[in-house]
Amino acid sequence: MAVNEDALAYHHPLYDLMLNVPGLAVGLAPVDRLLTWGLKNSLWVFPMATSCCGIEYMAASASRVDIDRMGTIPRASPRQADVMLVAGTITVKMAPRVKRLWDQMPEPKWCIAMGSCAISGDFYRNLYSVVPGIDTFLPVDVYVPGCPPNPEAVMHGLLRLQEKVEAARAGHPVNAEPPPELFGAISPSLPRLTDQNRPPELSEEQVQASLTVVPEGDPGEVPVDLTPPSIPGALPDGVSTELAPLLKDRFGVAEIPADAPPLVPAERHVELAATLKALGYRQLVFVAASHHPAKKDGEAEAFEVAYALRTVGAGSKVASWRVRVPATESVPTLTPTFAGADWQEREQFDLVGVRFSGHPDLRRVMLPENWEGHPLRRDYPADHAAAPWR
Amino acid sequence: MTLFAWLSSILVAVIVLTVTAFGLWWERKLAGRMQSRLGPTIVGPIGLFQPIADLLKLVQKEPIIPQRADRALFWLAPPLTTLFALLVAALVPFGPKLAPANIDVGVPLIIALGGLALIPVWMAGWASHNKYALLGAMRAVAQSVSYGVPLVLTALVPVILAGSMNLNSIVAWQHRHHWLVVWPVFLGLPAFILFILAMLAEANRIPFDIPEAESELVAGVSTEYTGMHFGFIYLAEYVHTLVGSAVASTLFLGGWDGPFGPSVLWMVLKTCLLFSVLYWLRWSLVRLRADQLMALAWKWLVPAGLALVLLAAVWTQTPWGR
Amino acid sequence: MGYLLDGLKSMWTTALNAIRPPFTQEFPKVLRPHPERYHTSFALLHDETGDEACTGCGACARICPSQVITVKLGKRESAITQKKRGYADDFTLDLTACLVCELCVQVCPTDAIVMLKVPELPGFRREDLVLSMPRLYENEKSKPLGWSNATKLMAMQDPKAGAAKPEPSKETAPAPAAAGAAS
Repeated sequence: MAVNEDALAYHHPLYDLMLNVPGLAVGLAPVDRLLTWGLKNSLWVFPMATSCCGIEYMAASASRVDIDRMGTIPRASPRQADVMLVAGTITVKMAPRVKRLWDQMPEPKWCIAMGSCAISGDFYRNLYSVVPGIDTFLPVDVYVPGCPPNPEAVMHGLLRLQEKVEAARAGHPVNAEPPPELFGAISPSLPRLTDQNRPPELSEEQVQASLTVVPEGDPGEVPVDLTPPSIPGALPDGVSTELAPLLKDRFGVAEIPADAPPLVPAERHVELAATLKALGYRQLVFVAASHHPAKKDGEAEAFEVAYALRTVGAGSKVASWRVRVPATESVPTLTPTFAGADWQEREQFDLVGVRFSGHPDLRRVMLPENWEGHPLRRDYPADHAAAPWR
Repeated sequence: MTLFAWLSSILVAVIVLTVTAFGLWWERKLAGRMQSRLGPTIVGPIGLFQPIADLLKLVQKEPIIPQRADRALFWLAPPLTTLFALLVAALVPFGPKLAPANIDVGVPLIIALGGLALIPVWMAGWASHNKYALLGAMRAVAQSVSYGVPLVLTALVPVILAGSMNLNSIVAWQHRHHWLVVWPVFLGLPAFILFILAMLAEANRIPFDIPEAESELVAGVSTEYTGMHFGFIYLAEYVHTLVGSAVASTLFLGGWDGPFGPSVLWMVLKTCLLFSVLYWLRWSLVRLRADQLMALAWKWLVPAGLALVLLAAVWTQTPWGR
Repeated sequence: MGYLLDGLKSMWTTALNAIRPPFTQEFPKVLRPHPERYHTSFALLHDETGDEACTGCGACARICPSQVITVKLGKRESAITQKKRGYADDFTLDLTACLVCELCVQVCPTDAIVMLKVPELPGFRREDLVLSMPRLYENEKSKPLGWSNATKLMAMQDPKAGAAKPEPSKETAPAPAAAGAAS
């Protein structure tokens, strides 16, 4: 059942002739053996090296192990390669590219999954951004265990692949028997390519339907009071002492917690940022959003966005505050005041799903455009079944 | 054309292709040793059957033509690259009587055929409908046009000194007098080095291999080619180098001339030695940038070539060179 | 000019390399000697009475960073000592996602799980890399065991005793399992 159907799909015209003309196959058996010998002794590798396993692959090509001894050379173009060696973690954003490069390789072709990340996603396998094993979208022929496998193991994997090539041509594919049910074995959160119950691929409409981002209106001019209040500097650890009196006097914030940034009303936080900028806090350090799902005691679903600014130069002071909005509303953007807020707010939108009203270009920045949902929300399912690389 | 010419041409083509195939093996062995590796050892005795395995593999690969490629040109270009590279081999004399085509305009014809080899490269780059292939082809054309000039100039030095454009006569002149690199050394040696440099650039080999710079252009002209099409382009490069070494040893190293033994032996020996030296260069040097490449051609090689031609003309009028 | 000098220098280097003996150790035939602490795969051990050492406590499963160990605890009377004790009814270590961090070895209270000096074979299916309980006990018999076990690793961390040194073992020779598999 787990026969690699894809690898058998293409036949060379010469090969088809051999199979179809009666008697020819018997006469040409030595020729077939010769061709198989050529095929297995000239495995040119397309290294799909994304992380640390790639270093071990390079070591395998270098002097100590030297896979050139068995005729394996790296090719930069997938058109001339026979083996795709996937070495390293494949993220969801990388997976479509890997698939595309795989499709560009000519038949007959093979794939080696090198190292735990490529085989199963390793301990990133439940992460939203990592493919739980490349066999969910590529037909893998050899799995090389290790984290990372040492250079000898790479060569060992290629030698095992030679065994497989020879066995497949001889008519008894090596992994013909169905996989046994094993107690405790990790099963990927997505169906593998060899699984029978694999759902059909996503249609283009489904992908497009998930792109539902509409930027909202322009916030217009924000009235700003630029008179610098006379406030002393900061605590020894750099946390500004200017912020608390400023918030109390001018923004009517009563509660200044000792262990967290103070909460500022969402409609006035742009004004606060502009005031602080006039005070010398000229650098936006971070924008970080968090998701708070609805609670049983009636507290509604909400987002909190924390901002931090700092002064530039020696004796730098940091001022930070929070903004809390219900999940249905949006936070006014800081982009007109701080250009650096642009991508940072995009990132928070991408991962958490907070809307920033007035943002000039609220698109996804890290995840693929056709991603569904926002992975850092508390209610995001870890084994999200609608992954877009399939 | 006589039967002898036909047969000898075919024989030469077969010999050159076979030698090239094992040249591939030899290069990989040499490269391996230069990098403290072994090179191919597993396939056949000391890896000797590696090129055969590669060939058998390439024949079996699926021929892919990109959807928007120019089909006719795409199919035609790779065999033509090998063919044009092979054509030159027919002109090289392997002995006093052993030249498949012994013609009086040998030197210009060789250079013309070398220039002709550009056309299939450009065809391949254009037909692939791939930006990397097109960029590679453009670089190859620009480079070959530039380096064609010093190639012609340096090839003129033996022509002027020997007073003939017939390759066999040039070798015969060297047989009567002395090898060109030996005397006049101030003419022969620089002309030989310049010729080798220009020839490497014409064949797109390291250090002049920007047309297929892997770090920039995936695989240059051959990016979209699979299977045996790629095999032809790959082969053409090696044939080009091999034939180039044969031409260089004919023009400057005395060709088939040797102190004893059969003439063919000496020719093969010199060619293989030069071939190995070129691979030594290939696995030692780094790639030149495009602007450095052009500067080298137009600022240094062309003036030097012109000076050498002038000097050769003067030398023939002196009592020592007459 | 700089290019010329550097080029000549690198040509000298490659020429020297070509006449020196190469570094290559021909892998399937010759196995590179590994360091004492080299560890790749796993085995479960029997204790000195010949009973299974694993008590099924599940400490390894809890500490595993990538959660590849699954243990099923069972209680029964030992066939050898006639005492009632814990056993692992089933035990699986899935190498497909293993980090080779050796934490499971370090926390084992009975020194039951250790690591091997030879790697597992590359497999044709994911299931080929799952170490089930029979495979783990088979590894104990057939493959060279690594240096470390829980007692030695914990002793290394004792500030008074000082770091324990791996004693040089006799068998740095090629491991039979890997050599046989490569053929």
